[in-house]
Amino acid sequence: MKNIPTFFILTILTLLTSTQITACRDLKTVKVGVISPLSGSTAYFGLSVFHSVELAVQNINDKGTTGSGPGILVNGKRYNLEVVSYDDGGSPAKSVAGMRRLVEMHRVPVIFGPFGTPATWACQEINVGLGVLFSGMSASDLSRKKGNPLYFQERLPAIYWGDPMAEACIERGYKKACIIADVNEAYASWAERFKDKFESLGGKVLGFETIDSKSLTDYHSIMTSFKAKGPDIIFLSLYEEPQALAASHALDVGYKGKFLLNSDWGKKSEKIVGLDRLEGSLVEATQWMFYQAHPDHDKKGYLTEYLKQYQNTYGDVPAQPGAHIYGVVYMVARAMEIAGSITDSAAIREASSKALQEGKLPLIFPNTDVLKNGLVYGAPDFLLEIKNGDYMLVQELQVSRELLE
Amino acid sequence: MTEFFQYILNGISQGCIYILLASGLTLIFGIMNVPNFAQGHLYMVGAYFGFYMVMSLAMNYWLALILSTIALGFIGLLLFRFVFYPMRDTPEVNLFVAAMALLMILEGAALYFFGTETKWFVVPFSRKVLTFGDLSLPVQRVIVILGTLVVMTFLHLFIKKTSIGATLEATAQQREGAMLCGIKVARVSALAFMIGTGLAGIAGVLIGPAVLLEPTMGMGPLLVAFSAVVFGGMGSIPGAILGAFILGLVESLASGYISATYSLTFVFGIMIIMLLFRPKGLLGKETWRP
Repeated sequence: MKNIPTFFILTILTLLTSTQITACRDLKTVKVGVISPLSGSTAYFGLSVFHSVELAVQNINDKGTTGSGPGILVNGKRYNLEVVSYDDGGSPAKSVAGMRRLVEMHRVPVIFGPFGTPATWACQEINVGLGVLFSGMSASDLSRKKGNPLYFQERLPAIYWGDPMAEACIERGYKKACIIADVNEAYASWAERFKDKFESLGGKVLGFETIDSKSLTDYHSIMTSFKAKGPDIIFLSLYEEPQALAASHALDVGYKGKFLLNSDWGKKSEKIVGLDRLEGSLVEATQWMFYQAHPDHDKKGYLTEYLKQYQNTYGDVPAQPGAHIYGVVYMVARAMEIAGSITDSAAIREASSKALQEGKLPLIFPNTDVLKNGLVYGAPDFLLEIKNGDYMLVQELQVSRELLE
Repeated sequence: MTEFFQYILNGISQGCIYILLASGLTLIFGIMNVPNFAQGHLYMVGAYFGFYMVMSLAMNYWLALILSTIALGFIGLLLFRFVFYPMRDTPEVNLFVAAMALLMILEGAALYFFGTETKWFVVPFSRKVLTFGDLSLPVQRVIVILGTLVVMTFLHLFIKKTSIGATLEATAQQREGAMLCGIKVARVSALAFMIGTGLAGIAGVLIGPAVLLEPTMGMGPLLVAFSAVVFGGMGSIPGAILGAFILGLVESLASGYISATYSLTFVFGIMIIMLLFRPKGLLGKETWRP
């Protein structure tokens, strides 16, 4: 008789477990694609993108999009998401081949990626013909201006942050600036925009250099020429590591002014240069950087949770594009539920605005809407000032919706 | 004028890296007639070795410098023994292709072992800067300059004052003649390879703390170092030193006064002009024929 309760409990547990397994097995699968560089020089970003999609899918399959899981609920049927990935090695030609392959072989209705503006532009040429919705990881303004109806751009075009950055510099009395920008369209146009606004506000740009930061390793001479011009501030419109290298080399040649750092600035660049050497410099930052520096501002804790989960799962720290795409997966999954379709790309795209407007998704970047041109809009950026080896919030930055529509 | 002297300082420190790479290139070319295109990537491997020893094994920088140099010298020996020596009697184009293949293999190996993420290494004097009036020079760059001076002085003394060095010079001047004199040319060639690749290792560890490390970091310096060898005269170590020094200065001055985007255009443009008017290079003794 003693064994009866044990037997009873075991029977119930077995039944419960088997029911759960049966339920999971019964869920049909929706395949979603990822195109990212898992090899080559940008593999670090590509891996972050791929792993972040995997992580979001795993969470959605476990808990649902808004906590009512498992999986997604479309027209009363539950589905699990399944990730199918393609390594494009950072080559736009391979991104296009990958898009074709994922659509023709796996019938995916949506693809996350590719990474980078050239690959995004290449995929924009074929995605409508293939009927696939995709989220290109581009910071170029031209990507959204192409008017592709089946396209998402999660990151606001960097160019528009040039205006508030210029205003902030003038407000702080920095009237003379030098600018160094990467040849990449997004960084170059960002710098140009900053220059135009800065000059329109009475500032003077004393030096403007466009370089290919992928091949340039020595900034000493450029910084020597900048230093000789006596600027109050140097705007480094570059990727993360080149920003750090350029700042270090400016300090090497005795530059004593401030820097204006862009949103690619992060933990790695901090370590390379040393925050104590950048006292008074300004940083244009997304939540990614700001919340990591000040987790207390991450009120809902989504970024903190994502970082923790990512590190536990992959034993590594993700790159910023991973955090961006993580939210897009949630948005698309919820849009499938709202649209009542797992195959109609146009309907999913249409429903994505509602998915954000509901405000129920665990978004790292608290976006509020999808504009008609595919821009995912709403999350503010921040202007920070480096003081006593820490980042102090100066002001929140926002680009007007009218400007982007 | 301060600006001009700062460019000169920048150019000298950059030129020193080219000197180390170009000397190794010209030494190997002089003895073996091998254009070692992998020299830039050996420099990259040296930098990664230094990074690994300093950052992962917490080793003293100077010890890491010595061990990396020895490791690169050993790699050079292996390359000679298993790649270039067996090909010694094949058409020169085979050596050329083998060197190109090694470049790709080394890049792949670096990607495999160190990943795609950019690395950097911090040494105690990484952020220290010396100032001389309005001029500034980071301590690491001073180390690059002094290190190059010391290494090149030792190399000069080794070649000019030792009997082994004399065999190197003799083989470089007349390979068949050296063999007839009883010099073991294979051993001399192995030594040249070891020294040449060791120099690349030294360059990598010297510049490592001042740059960012990535598997493709050797390509740019290789192109300039190769140009310096041609500019100075193929096979001539003094020529390579002079060529590297001049091209380092040209690069720095062009970056500062014109644009960094076009600095290499000036470097290669000057090299072409030199070859048009003096095909054997600045200090070359005869025209190089591939």
